[in-house]
Amino acid sequence: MITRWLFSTNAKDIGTLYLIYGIFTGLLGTAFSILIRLELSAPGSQFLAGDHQLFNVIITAHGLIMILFMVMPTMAGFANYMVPVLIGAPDMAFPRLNNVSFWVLPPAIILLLASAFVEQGAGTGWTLYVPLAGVQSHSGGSVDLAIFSLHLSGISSMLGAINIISTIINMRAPGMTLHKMPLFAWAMLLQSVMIILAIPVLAGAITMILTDRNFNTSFYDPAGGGDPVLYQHLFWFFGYLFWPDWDVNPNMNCAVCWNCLSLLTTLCAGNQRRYKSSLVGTSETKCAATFPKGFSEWLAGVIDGDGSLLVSKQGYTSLEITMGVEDLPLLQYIQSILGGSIKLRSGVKAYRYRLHNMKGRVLQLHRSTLLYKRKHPEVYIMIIPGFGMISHVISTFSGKPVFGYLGMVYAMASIGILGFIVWSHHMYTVGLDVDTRAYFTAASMIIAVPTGIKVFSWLATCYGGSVRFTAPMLFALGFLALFTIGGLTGVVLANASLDVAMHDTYYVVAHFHYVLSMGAVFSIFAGFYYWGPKILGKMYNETLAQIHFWTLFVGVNTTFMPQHFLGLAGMPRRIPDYPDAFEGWNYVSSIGSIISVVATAIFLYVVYDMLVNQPAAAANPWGVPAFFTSTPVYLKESPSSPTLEWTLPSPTPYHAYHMMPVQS
Amino acid sequence: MATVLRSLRSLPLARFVRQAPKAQVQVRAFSLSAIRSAGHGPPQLLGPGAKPGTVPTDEEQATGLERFELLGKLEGVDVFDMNPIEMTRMGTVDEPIPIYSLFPERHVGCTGFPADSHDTIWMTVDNKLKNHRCPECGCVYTLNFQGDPALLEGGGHHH
Ligand code: HEM
Ligand SMILES: [Cu+2]
Ligand SMILES: [Zn+2]
Repeated sequence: MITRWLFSTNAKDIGTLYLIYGIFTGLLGTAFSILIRLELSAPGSQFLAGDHQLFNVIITAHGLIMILFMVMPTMAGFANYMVPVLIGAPDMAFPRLNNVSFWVLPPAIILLLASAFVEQGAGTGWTLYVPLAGVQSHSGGSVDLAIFSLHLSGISSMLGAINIISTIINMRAPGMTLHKMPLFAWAMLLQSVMIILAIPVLAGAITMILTDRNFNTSFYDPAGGGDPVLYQHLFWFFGYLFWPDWDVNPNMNCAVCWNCLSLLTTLCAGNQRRYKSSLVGTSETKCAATFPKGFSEWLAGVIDGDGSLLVSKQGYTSLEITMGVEDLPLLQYIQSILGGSIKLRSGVKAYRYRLHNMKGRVLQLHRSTLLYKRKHPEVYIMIIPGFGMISHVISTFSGKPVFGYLGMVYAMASIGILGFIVWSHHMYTVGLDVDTRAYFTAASMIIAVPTGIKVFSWLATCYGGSVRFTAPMLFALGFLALFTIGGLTGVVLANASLDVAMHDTYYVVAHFHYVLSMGAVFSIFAGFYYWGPKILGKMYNETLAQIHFWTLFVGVNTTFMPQHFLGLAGMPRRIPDYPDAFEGWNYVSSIGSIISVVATAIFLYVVYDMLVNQPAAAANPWGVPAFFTSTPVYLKESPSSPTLEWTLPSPTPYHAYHMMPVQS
Repeated sequence: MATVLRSLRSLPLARFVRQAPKAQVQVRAFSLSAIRSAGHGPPQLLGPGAKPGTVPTDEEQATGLERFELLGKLEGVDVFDMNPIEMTRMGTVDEPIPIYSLFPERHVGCTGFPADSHDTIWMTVDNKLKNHRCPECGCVYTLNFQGDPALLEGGGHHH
């Protein structure tokens, strides 16, 4: 047992482990999502006893688990199992490395879960934005543990990607040129290249948070010459320094979105310099003096990164600025505009200015500034393997080769490339200049072109085929419809001019759940029902599986469609409470999430039923005689199919291919 | 080793490799012999190694499967045939396209004649039927079995 699974170097066993892991983490993430929806089922405090930090920890865990510990490992599981089989290779190129790739994942999730038990837990959002993830806002070890967890999961993805690339480049069957390779293998190849380019950037970015927190560096702290926006650029991709706005006032790109405070006063910061200040000559006042852009930006420069924004245990926020006694006029000036109180701290010869969560101002400021998002390529890393599986499923159940094979390949490749040059569409509100935002708007919308090529090619594959509505096909068609809706709202959000209003509202939440919960997750279920009989050697119950599909379909749509309305009405994301006006659709959304849980229970039963009650699967359970083949001949022949896995028995033999497959 | 290879240059490779293990206890198929010489136990093919103080060449230091391939190349024998099926004609019932195999079955991907006329269709070409037909284009393939005859009786799976 231990030698078979813990020490396994067999790609199929490791793939199976990944899939089991994916089911486990999927249930965990679902549990967290239910907690979120229960708390939000009505205004006021529902289930979490007003502990807003706990709410933040839950949404953080939900996001990280679903993305890094559910979708990615599950895709890696299908890849491990199917890629060698699809290309006619006996195993992965580096079997022992493969073992390591999987076995760093259990420690990773343990670290993440452990982080919740340390001090207040990591309530940073899955994006780990600084300064919220910095040591002033999250003291204690929880964020450090979460960062270690991401390091491990990053190592897993990197090693897996290296393995996949080496396998695909070197171990294809004789005659299988790249352009004859099945689309899922292509998808995994492209995904792996993207992983190798993107993950190290994330790893570097979070390592810098780690050193900022523990070793007194200040990569993201303006007080030491750093910049919190740098983190966002790194998180959402790599190339901050190469970007045209690199030479503008770094404090203009501060993490504080002052637009939200409606404080665009015309007062020039330079006017304030009439006070003799000990701050003159420091980086902060220099910026303010050199860039007289108004109070908001000046203030942003003064407070940014000084740990001025504090979050209490209950999740309440306050703004605190401490300055030497000679700077009292500066504080008074701030007070005259923002309100708040000033207190002499005689021990240290300083005044402390403090603004409590007044009229929700600081809460709003905090929300819109400290909580953000991550590197864009990751979202395509998650969906591209799904694209591959959907192509296989749609082609099989339409009884036709995929329409426009090469177009599909190049569409995936261009999505992979374009995915790397659109990262700042997550950052339209940090203070990018207009040209930059115009560029990112255009670039983001261009991604819709290859995505459209894929969607239309899938439709054209169905068109004129003899479509069989099996469970995997239903999930694939569901994917097609709902992923397209998610792509559409993505194009809406890609417009900087609209996104300044939509950013950090539930509209964004609706968008990415349509592409993830209904895109990535539906493709995973399609892949499971399609390849499950091949992997487990047992058929599933078609009726139950279709009930699973329809329950999930109703559940996720009920959950996420109303979130569009909430977002358009202005409900911000990542909040534990909301005004009464938002009650109705939130209630509907919470009902939807319960329906999805029921669907998940049905799925678990389908798997149980599959293993216990169902008949053994044929080598090619989806095979039907081709048009020119007589049924007697078909029955006599061993199965033929467009991809290799169906020519093997089910379950796939532990060692497939004694003789390398060969093709013309 | 090189001389053995040279003397066997014109013979089908399979026969040569089956001879090497024959000297040992048990008759064993080529691919299995190859696996043995690769990972487990000391390599069966050893080069002279480099002289002290010099950097070894591949010819001097390669062992096992790699040495096997290298020596084969020196002798002009492509020991691991990594070429696609050569479609010089359409396989017919009378003249099917032979598929070389050391095992009783091999998976074959047809793209029609001329090659790339249709998307790949994979078939299992085995010794149970004489002819195997591509359901798309009708091209016929047959197994050209060159392996250990013992495999034919035992149902094909032994280690
Ligand atoms: C046509 C393609 C797409 C476009 C133009 C697009 C555009 C956008 C934009 C502009 C945002 C930022 C909205 C804001 O925060 O104000 C966003 C957020 C997001 N998108 Fe997309 N998107 C596309 C496809 C996808 C896909 C395929 C996925 C994943 C499979 C995805 C996942 C996400 C996620 C997870 C977020 C939220 C990140 C966060 O803030 O936590 N998107 N998208
Ligand atoms: Cu994005
Ligand atoms: Zn053919």
